[in-house]
Amino acid sequence: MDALFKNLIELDGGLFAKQLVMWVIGGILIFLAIKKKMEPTLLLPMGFGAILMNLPNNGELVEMGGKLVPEGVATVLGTLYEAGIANELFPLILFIGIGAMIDFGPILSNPKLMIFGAAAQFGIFMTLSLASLFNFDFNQAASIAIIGAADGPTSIVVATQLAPGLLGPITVAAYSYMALVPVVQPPIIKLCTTKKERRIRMPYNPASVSKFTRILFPIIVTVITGLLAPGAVALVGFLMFGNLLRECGVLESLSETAQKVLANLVTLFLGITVAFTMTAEQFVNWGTVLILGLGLFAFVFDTFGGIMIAKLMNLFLPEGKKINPMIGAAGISAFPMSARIVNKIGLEEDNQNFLLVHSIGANVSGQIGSVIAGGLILNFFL
Amino acid sequence: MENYEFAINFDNFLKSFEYMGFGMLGIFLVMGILIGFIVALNRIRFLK
Repeated sequence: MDALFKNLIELDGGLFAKQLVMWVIGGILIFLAIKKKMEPTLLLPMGFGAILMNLPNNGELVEMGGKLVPEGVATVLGTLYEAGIANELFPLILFIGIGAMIDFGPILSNPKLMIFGAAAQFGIFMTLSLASLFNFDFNQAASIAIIGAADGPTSIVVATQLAPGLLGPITVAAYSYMALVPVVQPPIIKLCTTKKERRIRMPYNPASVSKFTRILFPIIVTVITGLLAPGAVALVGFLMFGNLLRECGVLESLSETAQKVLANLVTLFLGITVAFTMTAEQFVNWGTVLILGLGLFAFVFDTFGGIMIAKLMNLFLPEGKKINPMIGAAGISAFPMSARIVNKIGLEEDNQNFLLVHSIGANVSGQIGSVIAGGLILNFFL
Repeated sequence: MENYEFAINFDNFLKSFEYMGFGMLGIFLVMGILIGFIVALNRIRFLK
């Protein structure tokens, strides 16, 4: 009989209480994924993985990834972690799929929208300052700040290199807030803009974009980023490789595979493998709560930065050519939720105010901006 | 989180503004160059 309940008899009370908290966190992530449909492709595997990683007395402790983990399922996840996350393979491969999914057409026909993709990274650096104030060392502060990139793979790559111990809470925060963009952004947008500004209409006069430009764009982005921000070259390179597959016009089947099969396969492993870092000892503490708070701060100030640059530009633009400042808020990388939110608020204010094309342009430029920000942060702190 | 202890660290806070300045400058610089390239490519007639 003792053998049957050996696992329960030998429980460490203090640790088990923390593990129970992790089960609840795992349950919440699964609930959000299934019931609220919030980033289910990642939150569901992460939620299940969080439970899996925190089963008590799950075999002898063995050293893996610089920490002691139970020999049971944790070593399998640890092997995946070493093979796919510690060396950044999974997030980078995922970037090929993301690159193949993105149509950069809107920014190629209206390149000034790229300014918003730069300005909406402001929250990253504000959060770096705030996290530094709260005594996180610069590597930790930079990893937390990159939550504001609103880009899961970039957050994982930066956190893995600068502060692997924080990977779990940072990934949870990054994906949760990306899913919460429809809740987080509207109040900030309304707080930072007047009704009159939200009603500004923007005519859409698309310039024709040649196929040659579409093909040359990913190559130029890779070369320029590689020269100016070498830390971003892996991120940008894989993103743009995926985009080149899409735009070249002769590799439809590869492009489709990258968009669907490859992205799905990597996402499947990425979510559950990130859970390897979500052990109770590492996750259940006040630092995690602080990281979640700082992540929210980053999203708020990203939105603020984008809106403010649009307002600044409006000071110099003539009447009739003014920009709806809400477009700036779409400069964060949460694609395409952020663009949709801006369009929805625009239509709420004026049912003929269609902003989707402009906001999509700002949104895809945010994809580039966030990757460059990640690369610059790696340049500064590696 | 092993090495973290909550405190207020003004020295790091002030130094972080240097990173903020260079970081935002870097992003705007890269984006500015990209905008320049796109505008140039869109103006080359024989590409259209």
